[in-house]
Amino acid sequence: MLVAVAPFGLALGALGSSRGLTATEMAAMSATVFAGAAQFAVIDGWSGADSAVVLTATVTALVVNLRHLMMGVALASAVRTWSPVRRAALAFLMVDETWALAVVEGSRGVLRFAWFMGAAIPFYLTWVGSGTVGAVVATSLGDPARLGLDFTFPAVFIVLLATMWNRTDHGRPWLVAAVASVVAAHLLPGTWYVGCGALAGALCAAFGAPADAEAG
Amino acid sequence: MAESATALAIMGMALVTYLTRVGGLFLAGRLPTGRRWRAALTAMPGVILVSLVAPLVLGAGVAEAMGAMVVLALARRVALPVVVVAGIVVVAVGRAWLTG
Repeated sequence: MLVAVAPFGLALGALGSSRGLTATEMAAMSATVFAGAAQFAVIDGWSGADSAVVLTATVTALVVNLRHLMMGVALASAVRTWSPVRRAALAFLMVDETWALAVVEGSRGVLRFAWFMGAAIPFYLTWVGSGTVGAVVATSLGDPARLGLDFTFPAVFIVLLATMWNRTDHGRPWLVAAVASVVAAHLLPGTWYVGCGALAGALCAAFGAPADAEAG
Repeated sequence: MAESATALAIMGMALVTYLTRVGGLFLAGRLPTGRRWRAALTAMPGVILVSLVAPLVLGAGVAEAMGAMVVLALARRVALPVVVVAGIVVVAVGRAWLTG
């Protein structure tokens, strides 16, 4: 995953540089925001440093990252015995990739604080480092998609799903989530499709319970 | 001043992003605990993961769909890095081939 995240950090840094952001500003953004999709969305629409950009950037980051609310709820039971400080630290480092690893580890038994930090901190450092280097180098780095590197995360997510797949009651909610997210991705901008798909799948799980459970 | 607008934009992004991350973790304990809620919350990790990945492989194109099938076929048979590299190779070759 570290090898895969670096090209995107580089590409983001180069994009930021082309929009007039300095390497220091890119480093500060990657280190404090740490959210790939939101940073790409904001920087792509970066209009220069004026007062309008403050509101635009903040609202874009909020909209793109709203899916984290549901991800936090889904992960909460795995960390309910952690101290508030540790949970707050986990939240800072919770991106799609580290969340996916944590939720699978939690479903296997206990999610340990040290285990999560061991997985998340190298990921964080790679993201900040590659984003900064990209802004410094900023030459034609090429498109990571040409090499298929953008497929790394879908591939890891598919493997994680395959390892989670052990109960027959996954079928319908997962199918509903897949259909809803694909449809939403075509109709809505940004990452709304994650929230739409997850909500549809969760509703299916809540109201599509087997008839015997309904009776009991 | 130009630099202060950039700094404010970054601080705004950082603040709202952190709130979305920390909010779910700390609010989860205050949610209702009925049977349907439990079913929904139990299903949540899986359906979020499905929703993250489905548009990237199903709606994206032929190369991505082929890569996803290869990954799925290998997922529980060989080690994770091998599966991922196989998927990447299929997608890269597929894209190069399909775009001529």
